[in-house]
Amino acid sequence: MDMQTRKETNATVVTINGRLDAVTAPEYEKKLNELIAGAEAGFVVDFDQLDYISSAGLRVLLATAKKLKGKGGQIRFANVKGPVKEVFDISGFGSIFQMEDSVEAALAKISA
Amino acid sequence: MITVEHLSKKFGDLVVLKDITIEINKGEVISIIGPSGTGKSTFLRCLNLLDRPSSGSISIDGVNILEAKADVPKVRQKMNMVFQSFNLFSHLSVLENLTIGPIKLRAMNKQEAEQKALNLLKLVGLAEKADNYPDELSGGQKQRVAIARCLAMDPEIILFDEPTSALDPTMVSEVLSVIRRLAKEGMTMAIVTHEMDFARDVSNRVLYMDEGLIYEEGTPQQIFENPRKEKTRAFINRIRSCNYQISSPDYDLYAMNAEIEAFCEKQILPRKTRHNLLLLVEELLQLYNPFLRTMPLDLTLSYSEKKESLELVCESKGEAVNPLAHNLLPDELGLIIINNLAASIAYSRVNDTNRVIVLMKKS
Amino acid sequence: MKKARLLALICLILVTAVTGCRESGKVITGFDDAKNAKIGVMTGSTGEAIAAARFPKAQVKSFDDIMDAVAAMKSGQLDAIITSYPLALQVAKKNPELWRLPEPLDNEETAIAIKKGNDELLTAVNRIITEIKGDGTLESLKKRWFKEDLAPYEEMKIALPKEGKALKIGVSATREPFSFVDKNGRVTGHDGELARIIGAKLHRPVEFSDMKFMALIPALQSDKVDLIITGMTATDERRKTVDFSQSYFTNAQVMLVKKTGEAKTTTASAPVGSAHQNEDIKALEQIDGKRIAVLSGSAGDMAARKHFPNAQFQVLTAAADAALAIKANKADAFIYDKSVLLNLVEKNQGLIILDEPVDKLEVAAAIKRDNTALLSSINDVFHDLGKEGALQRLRLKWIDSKYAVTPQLPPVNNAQVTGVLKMGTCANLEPFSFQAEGKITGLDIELSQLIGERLGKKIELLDMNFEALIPALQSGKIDFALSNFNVTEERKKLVLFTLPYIENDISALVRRSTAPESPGAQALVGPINETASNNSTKITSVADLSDKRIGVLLGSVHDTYALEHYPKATILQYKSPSDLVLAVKSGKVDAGIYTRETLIEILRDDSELGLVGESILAAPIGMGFNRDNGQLREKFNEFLRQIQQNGVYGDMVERWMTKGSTQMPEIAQGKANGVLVVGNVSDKGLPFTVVKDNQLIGFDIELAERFAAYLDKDIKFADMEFGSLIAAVSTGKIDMIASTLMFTEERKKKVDFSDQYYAMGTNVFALKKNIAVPGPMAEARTPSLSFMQSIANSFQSNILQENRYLLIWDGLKTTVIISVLATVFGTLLGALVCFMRMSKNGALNVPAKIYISILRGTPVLVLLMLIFYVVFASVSIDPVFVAIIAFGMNFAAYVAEIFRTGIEGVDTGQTEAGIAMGFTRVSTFLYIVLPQTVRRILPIFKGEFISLVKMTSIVGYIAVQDLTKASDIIRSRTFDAFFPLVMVAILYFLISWILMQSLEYLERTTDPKFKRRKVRNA
Repeated sequence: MDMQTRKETNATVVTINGRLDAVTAPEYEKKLNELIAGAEAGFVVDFDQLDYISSAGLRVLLATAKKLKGKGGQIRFANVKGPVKEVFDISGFGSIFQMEDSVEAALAKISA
Repeated sequence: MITVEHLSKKFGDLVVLKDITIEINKGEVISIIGPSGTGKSTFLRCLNLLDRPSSGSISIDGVNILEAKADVPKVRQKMNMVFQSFNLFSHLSVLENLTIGPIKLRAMNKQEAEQKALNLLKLVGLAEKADNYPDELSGGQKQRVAIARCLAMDPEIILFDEPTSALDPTMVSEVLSVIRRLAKEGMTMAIVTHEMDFARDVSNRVLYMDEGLIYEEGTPQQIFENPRKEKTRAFINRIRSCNYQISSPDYDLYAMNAEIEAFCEKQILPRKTRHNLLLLVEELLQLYNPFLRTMPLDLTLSYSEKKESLELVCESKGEAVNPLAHNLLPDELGLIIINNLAASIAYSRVNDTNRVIVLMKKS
Repeated sequence: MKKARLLALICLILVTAVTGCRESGKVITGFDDAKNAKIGVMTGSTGEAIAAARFPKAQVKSFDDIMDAVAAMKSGQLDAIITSYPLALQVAKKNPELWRLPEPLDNEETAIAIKKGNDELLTAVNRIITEIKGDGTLESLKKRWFKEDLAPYEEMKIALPKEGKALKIGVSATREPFSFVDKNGRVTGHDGELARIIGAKLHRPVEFSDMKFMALIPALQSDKVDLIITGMTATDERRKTVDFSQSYFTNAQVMLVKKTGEAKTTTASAPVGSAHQNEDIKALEQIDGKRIAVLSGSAGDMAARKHFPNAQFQVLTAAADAALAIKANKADAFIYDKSVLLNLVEKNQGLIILDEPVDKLEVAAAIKRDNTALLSSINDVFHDLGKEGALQRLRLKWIDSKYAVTPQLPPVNNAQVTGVLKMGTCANLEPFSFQAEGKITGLDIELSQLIGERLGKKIELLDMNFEALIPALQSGKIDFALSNFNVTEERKKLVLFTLPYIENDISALVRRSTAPESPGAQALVGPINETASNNSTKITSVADLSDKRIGVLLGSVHDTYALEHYPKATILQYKSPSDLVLAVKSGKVDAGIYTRETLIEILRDDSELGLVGESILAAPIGMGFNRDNGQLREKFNEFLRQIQQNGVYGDMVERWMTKGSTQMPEIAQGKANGVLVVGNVSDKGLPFTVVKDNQLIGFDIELAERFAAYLDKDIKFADMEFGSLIAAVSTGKIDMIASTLMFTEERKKKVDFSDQYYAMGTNVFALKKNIAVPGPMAEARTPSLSFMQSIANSFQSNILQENRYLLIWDGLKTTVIISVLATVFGTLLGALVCFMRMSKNGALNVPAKIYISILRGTPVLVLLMLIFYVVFASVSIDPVFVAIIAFGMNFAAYVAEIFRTGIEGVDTGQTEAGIAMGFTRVSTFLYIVLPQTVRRILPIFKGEFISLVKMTSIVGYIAVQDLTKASDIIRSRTFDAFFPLVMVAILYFLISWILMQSLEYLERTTDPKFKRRKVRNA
């Protein structure tokens, strides 16, 4: 797992890469929880480098979103594409999450 | 017509044919199929004694041709052979290839032989190539000439040793159609082939050879649609499979992924299929996860080249449980994905074993 | 001209390459350096034995030809070459970087043989030889008999006593110039004269017994003769059965080595006529540092070494050699007894004695150290004798007079004897003290008599070894010694010396500073005087050949003759008479030496050539017989005697030799007693053997035919290479050789000779325009012909004349027959071998493999000779058949492998298809594999076949007359190289081309596509 975070003015950009599967999901969850606990409210998750996602990954994302919602924060996804997008689509997540074409667009949405 | 009993053939220490017993009747078209290196060609070559059997007997019309006094060349004239590599006589024209046998062996006069040869060339559609030389023909044409050359000797049976293996795919059909035509005309033939559809269409009887034996024998329907033996079935469907045993929730997903990837690589499956397969396996295992501690999972992945289908068979011995049942799931996310990837999912319980067969959607 | 230049350039490059590649050879300056050197010798020569004996640690390499050895030395593969003196001289002259070590390694001594035990005669002969050596008689003999020109021999008249017991001399009068029979039937030659001199000195008439060389020693042992004087070499083998006198002629074995660095530069700066010559020696001090010739162990030797420590010494064995060495500029001075030198100067105008003596030689009597009384009394006697002129008289009598007969001692006056004086002497020091007619005589003896008379004592002579004289004096066994004692410092420590009774100068002999002026002297010096002959390119007499290029037939007697007699000439050896004549005509050599009879025939047709002088050498010829067939030989000798008596022989000589007839008489051949197979060489040349109108004709042929008729046998000629004749007769292939066979010792080991049936002369010949006094017609008669004209002439003489085209035609047929049949046989045999080779059965394939490797690894010529001379040695077999077998066998080995590759190249699928169709293995091979193999191998087969055709040109070795041989025969008649050779080349090409076309036709018929193309075109 290799997660990078970048602090932007109004949100934290989280870049995840490689696989988000049953093996890596718990770690991503832990990291994201730490960020949320650190009073981060706005998140943009950049999927550009992600090759694979399974239901375990989707659950982490869902749980994170729920937590943020409880805190009044918000999460937006950027660059969801390819096989990952397909998984989003078949699982119906595509309609649950707000997805943008780029990190900048997502940031703009958060600030708005 | 031909009776083969307990035929065996060894090359040094290597046993190629173990114990073959079979009868070929007049007018029969027999296809011999099976994996490479299981002695199909050797069997054929033993029939006309190009390779001399180590033991057993071959009787033609009641005469054992393995006896010393047998006139083997005479027997061969009645039992001509078509080779994988054509073996046309390169110093002779197409016409001469057809006439040399009748003239030299049958004492047929030249004119008669040539007339007959031209008729046969017409039959195989190569009359205009009569004066050409073998190196001026395409592979398919060569093989048709080779078949005509056999016919010129008026054989009682023709042995085909993988007649299309050395051909470009585009030339296979022209050769097969000639053989089909012969079959229709009632020629007795034994054909070693890898063309399954052709074997199914043309033959009365199919021999599936494996491990130096006639492993299964039957009508084309029997062999191709309902093979009794697993190996036959696997061969017919050209099934390749791999198998994993998972006995703990802490299984190594990545190691398994690597194996699946390697398998896919071998079958030359597209990237998409590979991705979906990995996702499917992971989701299935997620569902099985709660039971792994008590019930080890036996996962078999099979790919049928013929059907181009991927099948996952998950077997777990123990209490009757279908992990895919809705009631057992924390959420439906995994199942949704599985359902989306699978063409069919079937649960059955056979002898204390829960079996889930997932057939993947073709992507 | 361009060609010649190109050739010269190539040679130069080659030589540079050869010499340049390894210069770091060992430098040899003396025999000690040669111990571990690489030494080249000629196979079977004395040099070989010498090298093995003297340089056991050296690497000895044998060569057939001196030129090969020289090339090897120049390329650094050899450090030295051991060879005979004349050859070494020759080589050193041509190769300035090489030189001959002055000391001879060994000398082959020519000596007089005397029956063992006849010591008296031996002593006398030895004395005489010493005597004639000293007085220059021997040198004069050598000069007059071993001539370098063809001027008639000048025999010295020797008066022999008519009365007395005759001295019987055994000679083999076929050994010119040692001993031979002159036109008056007298035995003459160097040894003939020597024998007469000996007879004269012994006061006995001489009686010669001419016999076979081999019979001489038995004759001596059985007292049939007293002496053998016939150029016999004193070998150890012979020494076991006879005694030899001291040598009267020496043939040295010398060592040829590379020059050391300094020596090289010296010669390089002055390659011809070198620096030594230019700087004339006028005073003694100039000698030091020069090359000095001395005689081994002589007083001159010691004196020279003492006075000229920086000189380079050349130790020789004879004074005459030393004189020659100076004249030939091989040495600069010769230091020796003045009396001998005077003798040499008298005979060699180019030489001079330096006025100042090098040293003095004093001869005195030795007396015991403490016996001063005797010393003073003898000194008184010497003093008186000197005063009275008695010493001078003695000297004149014994030393200076060159007596022919040993002088007599005056009777001893024993009137007033009061005691005895014991005198020691060593009686083998002529003229001082030696034995003659059983008595000790000489100057010392006569002197001792005088001493005795004066002192009133009886002199008692004690003959002892020289080394024993001084101890004998010291122990008082003798009172004094007179034995040519040279006074030396060492001896003075041991004994007392009286006043010298003889004083002799040791002087230096050098070249005269200016060329001799008198024409007489020039003629006398003759060939040795380089300036004289160099100025003229024309040949006036055989003497002018000395520095010219001389062509000879390789290995012939002329070859040896030229080497011996023209050591300074360039001798070029040719393989055939036609080549030799061509070389003379094309100016490759200035003159040639060849059999006179043949030359006369050539000159009949060739106006460009002319003979120089008279015959220089006569060689007896005879028929050669198998050594086991003595009966046939006897028959022949009997026959020869018969025809010599009944005039038939004379008629033959008249017709063939004198008139130059080319007509063979009809000789009815008998049939009753089978066939006589006669070996000959058809291109020997007229008048002996030649092919005319496709018939063998000539003297040899007629003689052989007459002999066959005499035996009542049919005759069959086997025409072969000269080199094969002896092998053929010794293996019984032929019954006799009738081919102008000269008698040589070498050949006598292999075959038995009949009696001599003819003696061939030897002549020098050259282009007429190069002969100084040309025939009046010569220049006019050789107008330059136009090219077309000369071609037409050549065509006329080589092809049309005498129907020579028939010869070519027959040769052509033979060549084609051999080629084709050998190919057929070889192909069939090759197929069999190939079948065996490809068999899995070891019993078949192993022999086949061995056959192939042996046959492919053997030169076909060797195989041919082996089959003819060994395998079918005792079978009468047609040589054409042998040729077919030999070439076929060779061809088979190659073809078998070609077949194998061809067969293995055919895909096994073809065989399988045939078998599966119902063909048997054999018919599959015939109908399926073979046609494909043939097509595959034909191109290679063709090449192999062409080389076979060309290879057949060697069949001449086994008496087959093929195309090449036919051209040789024609060339031997016409001496025209161009036309026959070019024609034969063209014919070979045509045969190859036609045969190749037929094979190509076969190739096309086996090429299916060609066949179809033809059908389509039709």
